Order: sequence, then C-alpha cells, then structure tokens
Amino acid sequence: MRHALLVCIKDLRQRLRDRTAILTAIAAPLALTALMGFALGSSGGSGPGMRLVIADLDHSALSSAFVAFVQRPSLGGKVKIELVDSVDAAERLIREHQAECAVMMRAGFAQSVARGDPPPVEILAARGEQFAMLATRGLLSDFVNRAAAPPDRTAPEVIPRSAGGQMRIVDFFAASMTVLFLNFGVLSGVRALQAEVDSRTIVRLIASPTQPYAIVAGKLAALLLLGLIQMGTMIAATSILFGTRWGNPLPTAALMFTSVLMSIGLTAFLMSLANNADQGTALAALVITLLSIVGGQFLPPQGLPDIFETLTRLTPNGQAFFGFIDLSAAGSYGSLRTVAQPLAFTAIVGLSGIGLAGLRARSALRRIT
Amino acid sequence: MSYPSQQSTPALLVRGLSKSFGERLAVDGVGFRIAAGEIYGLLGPNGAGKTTSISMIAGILARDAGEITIGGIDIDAGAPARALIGIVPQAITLYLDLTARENLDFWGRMYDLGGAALRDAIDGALDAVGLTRRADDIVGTYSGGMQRRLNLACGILHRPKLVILDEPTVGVDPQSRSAIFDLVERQRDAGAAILYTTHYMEEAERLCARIGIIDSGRLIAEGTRAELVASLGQQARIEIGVGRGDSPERAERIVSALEGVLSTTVENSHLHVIADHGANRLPTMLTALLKAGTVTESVRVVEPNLEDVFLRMTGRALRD
Repeated sequence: MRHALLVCIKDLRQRLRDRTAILTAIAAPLALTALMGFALGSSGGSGPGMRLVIADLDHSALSSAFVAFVQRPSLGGKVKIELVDSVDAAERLIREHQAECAVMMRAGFAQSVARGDPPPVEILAARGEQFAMLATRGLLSDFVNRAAAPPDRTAPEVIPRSAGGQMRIVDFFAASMTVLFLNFGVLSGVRALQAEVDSRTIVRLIASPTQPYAIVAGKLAALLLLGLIQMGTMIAATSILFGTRWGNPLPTAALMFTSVLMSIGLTAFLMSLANNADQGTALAALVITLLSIVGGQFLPPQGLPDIFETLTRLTPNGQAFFGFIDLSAAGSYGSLRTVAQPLAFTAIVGLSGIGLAGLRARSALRRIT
Repeated sequence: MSYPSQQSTPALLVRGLSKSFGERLAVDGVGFRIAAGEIYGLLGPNGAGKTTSISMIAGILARDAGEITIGGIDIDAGAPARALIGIVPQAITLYLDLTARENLDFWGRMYDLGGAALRDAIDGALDAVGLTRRADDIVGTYSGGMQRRLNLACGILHRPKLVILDEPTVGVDPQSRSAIFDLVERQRDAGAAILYTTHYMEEAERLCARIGIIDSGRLIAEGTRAELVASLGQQARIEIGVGRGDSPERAERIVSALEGVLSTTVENSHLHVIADHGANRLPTMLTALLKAGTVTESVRVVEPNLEDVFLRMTGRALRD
C-alpha cells in the first residue's frame, strides 16, 4: 500500500509539473466551450420558441398530462404544441420542417412508466434541430421522472435554461468538451506510463522490493485522480463561468468516475497497441478524435440519418456525454437509474481496456527485460 | 585457489542459470559466486547474455532453470531478496522531469528509507557523484555523464549488499567514467559485492578481482586476470602491419595456414595473430609473407590480455 502511494504521488507530481498537460486538460476545453458556445449561441437554438408535435397513441391520462406539462405557465408559452393522431402525421410535419421536434408516445406508455420500465416513446427532430431534440428529451425525461416519483415527494418546477425551452449551446459544449478533453488529458497520463516503459524506469521499479500490483495500483490511482480532478475542475468552472447545471451530484459523480475509467481503459489499450509512446499518442489521438465525431461531441447525431444515432450509442464517449446531458436535463430528479446504461457501458469499456492493456504490457515487459 | 566467497555465505550465488526466448538459448547454465567486498566482472560482447543474466539475478526476468541466492536468500522470496540488491541498468532509468533530489527521494522511499536516514543517504549520494550543486535542477537539463552518475547514485542509495551494474560507462565522458570507477571501488571498500558487466576489457582489468567471460550465453572461463591470461600458456599475440597496397585479409590467409598459429583476426588494417611460442614463430611468418609478396611495415609482440583470452576461446574479437 505504501509503495502504491509513493508511485501515485510521484506520478501526480510529474503530471502536475507538465504545463502542456494542464493546458490540454483544463484551459483548452474551457476556452473552446466559451468560444463555441458564444459563437454559435446567437445563431442557433435560442429562437423565439419551439414547435413541438405530440402524437399521443397511448390515450392515457398520463400521456395527456404530458401535453399539459409542456404547456404549463412557467414555460411562458414558448413551446408551441401541435397534436396529431398518427406517427405518419408527425413524421410528415418534421420532414416538411413545420415543427422542430416530435414526441410519439406509443400504446403502453403509462403502464411502462408505472412499472418503472423505459416508456415506449420516440423523439424525432428535424434536420439541424439537434438542440431542440436535446431540450425535448430533457422535458420528457423530467416528466417521466416526476410521474415515477413517490407521491409524497414535492416536485420542484424545472424550467428550461434558456428562453424557448431549448438547451443552451454553451451547456452542450460544456459537456462535450469535458468528455472530449478528458480523453486527451488521460492520454497524456497514459503516455507518461508508456514513456516509463520506453525509458526503462519501469525495470528499476520492478527490481525494487515492491509487488507488481502496487506499481499498477499506484499508477491507476494517479490516472484516476487526475481524470477526476480534471472533470471536477471543468464542472466547477463551467458552472461558475457559464451557469451550466450538471444535475444531481451523486449520479454525476458516479458517471465522472466511470467516464474516467473508460478513458483510462480506452487510451491504455490504444497505447498498448503501439511500439512506443509517440506512436501510441498519435494512434490514440486519431481514434479519440474519430470517436468524438461519431460520439456526437462536435455535432449531435439528432437530425442526421438514424445510423448516426445508433453509432453514437455504440461509442463509449458518446455514452458518457449523453449520460451527462440526461443528468443535466433531469435536474434534481436525476438518479443512478437515469444513467444506468452509460454507467455500465463506460465501466465495462474501461475495465476491459485496462485488462487488455495489462495483458499486452506483460508481453512488452518481457521484451524489455 | 580459494576465494572468500567459498568460505562463507556468498553475497551472490548463481547456479545453472538458463533462459530461452523461443528457440534461442540466451543463457545456458551460467554459474558463479561473488563474495562481499568483491568486484566480479562479467565480460562478453554485445548479445552474449550479460543483460539477460543480470535481469534474472535482479528478479526482473523469470528464469527457466537455475538457482539464485542473494546473501543466502532465494531470489524467489521476492521483496526481502530484492531489497538487498541495487541495480544500475544500462539505460538511463531516471525521471527526467524531476530533480535529482526528487529522483533519489523516490527511489530511497521505494527501498523503505525515510526520515533523517533518507536525507543523509541522499546528501551522501549527491556528494559521492558530485551533483550536490545541481541537486535541485531538473534532470532533463543534465549532461549525459551527469545523468549516468545519478543513475548510479539511485542504485546505491539504500546501501545494497549486492550492486549490479550493467555497462555503466556506455557513452560517458572520461571525467564521468573516472567518477563512476571511484564510486564502484568505494562501494566495494564498504563491503558491497559488485557484479559489473562490460564489453570493455580495460574496465574489467582495472576494476574486477575476478572475471567471468561469457559468450553465446555460456560462461566459458572464469578467474583472476592473471589466471585467465596464464591459461593461454606460451601463447603470444603478434600484431603485423602490412603495406598500404597489400590486403590484410590476404596476409591472414597466408599466416593462418602456418604451423603453431592458433587464431587470426584483422582489425584496423592490422593482422592479429595468436600463436604458440609466438616470438619463435615470427621469422616463419615474416618469411611466408615475404615469399607471397606482402610487404610487412610493422611487427609487434604484445603481452596477452583478456581480449586475447576471449579471442583464443571463441575465435572472435570481443567487440565483434
């Protein structure tokens, strides 16, 4: 344990001394969030209101309540609702761009909510209306959470964070840049680990009177701490600077943890495929960038062909990113259940990546000794 | 002859050490012992199996067969045995983004030093390698020689019973080389056993009380310098310089066919010959070369050294 702590402290000292890494981890995502948020904020997503099509195919009291929920006074009438009686009609309005978004509540909606199962709901957004999509998801998630909440619980009023009931672009980029740069921040830590192999200092570590698990534990602890510090700093900074609300602290902290784990596993595995730190960094940076594009961190997949939505959900960073978006939308009603899928997905990817990287590292160590 | 190591528990005992990488046998039944206060040199060309051997001795690499004990403790005991070893790898194994003091502090703590003992050890090590004034500078700003010296300091900080040095002078300036030699000798005088691998014959001759010659994974000879050289018997090495227009390779073919010539090599345009009763064979050699039309520009009969021992035993030069 003592040796693991020594390795962890040493690694932290090295990483915190690396100004480039700090710049990559904190300053760059903050600057980009501000830049993208303010640059795009005036041109998209914050119009006078949102036109929402609702197809109520459940015809239950609960599905009807959703209409009232969206029309409640606190939203200031910014969401214009059009009710239709079929999916085809909803799709036509979206296709013709007569509405930004459509919610289709299928039969069994009320029963699923009562049972606590995922309700049969589809959301469709017009091309280029990804922020309307996010806002609609937030409204629906908020409604379902309230409906599923114990009756004695007093539900506070959740007001969308910008006029027009849409998610602010700066909030979208706060989450996307946090996840994107988490990968780059962790990559610099994993690179240092690979550099330890390249420079053979790992040989001296193995020769010291310590157990191999203590070395691994110390290094993983350092990477985890750095990732958590980075995400924590980003969350605090965006909350203070941009007023971004990240949601309930407990599930947010849990998703932070598994996201960092995912990031370590992903970058460590990619690094283990390379012959040296430079090659590994180049490979990992390429894959992270591609995953970020597919994972919707530069542009949300809503409004793009359906395949992009599916691909987004298949990327670990996409899972983490939309997990944070969901938590943000759910506000104080967000729970571990809200992000059960992202939590499981990112944790599995993280642990698998770490395991595979560990196996490959053993072969690499055999080569260098 | 009796050595101290045979009279008491040796600081290092190696028996029947073997290691294969796939089909290639890298180390084949190597065995030796080192006493406290003794410098033992493992001399051999690159790829002979020196680094593989010391990696197994240091517990870094798993062996296929053999026995290793450090001060009577089996290396398989793990941490208790490894705590007695100080390793100085061939590569510079330092954290270049930390200062010298931070590097030493980290390695000292990894070997369970702490408090005043650690501070004293760090100050002593910095002083010993002449880096006290640069102790708080980032190691990445050091010259290669300074990094080499610090590399050594990190390996001896915890006053190990066995110091393993793997080619510690590769690529260093003469000043740093001399400092490293002094430090190694001080460790020996303080009672540490030293295992010193090198492919520089001069280093082995200067530092080592006993030398093991390793080639192709096998320990082919062992003893003091005098014993190893004496094993050549009446053999002598003759250096023949041939004329500019003549080919030393052609001269080698002529000389190697003569009676009493045991081995020949060409190095720097000179023909090196090992022959029984070398001086007596010289007239025959020169006559043969003259008859073949080869001009002899210089002739020198050289006292045999470890290079000749290696050449005689393997048919190759140490630096091949």
